[in-house]
Amino acid sequence: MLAASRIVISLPERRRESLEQAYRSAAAAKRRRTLLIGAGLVVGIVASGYAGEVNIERFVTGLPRFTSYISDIIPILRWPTLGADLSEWFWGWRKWLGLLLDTLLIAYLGTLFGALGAFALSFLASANLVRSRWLRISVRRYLELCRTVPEIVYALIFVFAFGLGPLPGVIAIAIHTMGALGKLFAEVVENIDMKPVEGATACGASWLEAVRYAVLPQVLPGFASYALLRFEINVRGASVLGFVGAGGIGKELMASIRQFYYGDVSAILLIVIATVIVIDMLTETLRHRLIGSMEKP
Amino acid sequence: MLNRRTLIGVAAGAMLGLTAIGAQAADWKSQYPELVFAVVPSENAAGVVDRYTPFAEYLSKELGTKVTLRVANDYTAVIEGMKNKQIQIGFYGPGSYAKAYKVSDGNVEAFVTTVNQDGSIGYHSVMYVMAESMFKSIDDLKGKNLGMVDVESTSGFKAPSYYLQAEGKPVDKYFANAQVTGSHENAVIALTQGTVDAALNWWNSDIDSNLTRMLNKGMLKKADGTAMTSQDFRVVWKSPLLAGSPYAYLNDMPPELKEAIQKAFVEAPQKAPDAFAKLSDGKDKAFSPVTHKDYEDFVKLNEWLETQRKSS
Repeated sequence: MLAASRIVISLPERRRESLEQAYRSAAAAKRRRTLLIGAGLVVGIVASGYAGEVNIERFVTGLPRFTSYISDIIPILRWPTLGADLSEWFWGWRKWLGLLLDTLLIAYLGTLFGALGAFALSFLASANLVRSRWLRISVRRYLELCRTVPEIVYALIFVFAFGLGPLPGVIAIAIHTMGALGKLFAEVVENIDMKPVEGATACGASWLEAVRYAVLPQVLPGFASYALLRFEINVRGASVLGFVGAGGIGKELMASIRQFYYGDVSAILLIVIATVIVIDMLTETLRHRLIGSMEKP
Repeated sequence: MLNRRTLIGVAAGAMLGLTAIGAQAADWKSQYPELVFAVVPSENAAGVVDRYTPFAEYLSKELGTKVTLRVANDYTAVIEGMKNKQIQIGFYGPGSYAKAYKVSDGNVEAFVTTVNQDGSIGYHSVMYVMAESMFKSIDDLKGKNLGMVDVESTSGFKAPSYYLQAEGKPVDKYFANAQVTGSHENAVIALTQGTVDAALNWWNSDIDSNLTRMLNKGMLKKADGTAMTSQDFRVVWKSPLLAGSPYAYLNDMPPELKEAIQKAFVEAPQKAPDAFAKLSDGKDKAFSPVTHKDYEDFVKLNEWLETQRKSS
């Protein structure tokens, strides 16, 4: 057997040199450009840091204090007295769980009403269902208005209008959710297969009938999935709304922080975190089932 | 042997010694190029800046080091700031001072408080209702909404909680809703808007209270646009006399600095009468030195509040 031999094609000397020259200058040009951009970036960062009063020394000396707050709020738990220490730490668990239930209900109702509103408006904001540009644009701008104002500002306005309690919280979350979900729902609608819609209109269906029979079955799983995601976000939002008197656990958390009851701060935070984790896991499994059903042929 | 060398040596030694002493005295100045002065928000941020800036400038001149006025968002911010030594001089109510003392393990110490025009020291917590409402006394307010100030405010939460409980009207059970409004001004505004039926506030006398300050600034207007007067408000409850609100500094600062600060405050009515008068709209007479012992009662009050919280 012949040993495998390398076949080398060699170019004439001059030709090879000119090619290598071209390659080197191209690489050098690219390197130069990268260096220039990098230098410009560094200058920009330093200048903006100077303008923004970024002080590395202060950051470094202040960093340990950040961990000191965490160690302040965690109480001392000793292994021999663990049961007693834990019941001391979570002394108000009944009251806090009750307030947390309030928060969950506020988030649930807000998400429900917001999703219903978004459901109604999303079809009007979709380019494939609505021909009139004006209608689409005005619905989208309205949804943006609902979305842009922070929930806490809505809550303050409604506390002023309706007094203290959970109602302002529910309305605030509902309006903000309608804006956020409306946009997401409209994008789901715009991604559907138009063939069933064409089929329905070919049979003489009105716009509403076409939406009900051709569009809805395609979009419902996506809608439900986004709504569940929004519910999880709203549980956190509802906790914050409690600060301004809109009901729930926020008020209790704020009072504990303000009065330096460090143990209570960590206890309430842990309860809220645990609740959000549970809700996250539950909605995750539900959403996976829904998305799975969407992909069925 | 007395010759030129010994003379030069002695002169050099004397000069070094003098600079050493001079350096000691001014030592705190190099340690503290800036002193941060913060006040609990008994009024809104713009009002605080307006009221305290001339005094902060006087302090800068008197102490020889820059005194920066910082506006705090709530009482807790000042307490937290002094705990972390970011604030050197703070102005508190008696209850929030006691909390600051405990939270910083005794590193915060009261040094002066204000003296009223009539020579007395101290103030009261009052509960206002609108004069046109049907509430004539606190007995009419059962099951209604109460506006408190801040959970760290003495006149706006702590003292009323204690005294009303002693009168058989515990705040969280007697009223339908006892809501924290964020500041003394917010409590009065919530009262005028009807969000709450009664509001707690601090009160020195009929001509010197948070309400009179707001009325003088023209902050309160009726629905038709005309300015409100003190006749539009009725006092339905007043607490016993509370200790005067203290100014406090960090305990671990050099003794010369602490003495200089206290001296600057006590001499302010003479050395900077305009800046001093601006602090209280001319209603205070002087600063009077105090110590932590004058506020022991409020340390106990905070402990009582904490046990109350856990038992309810």
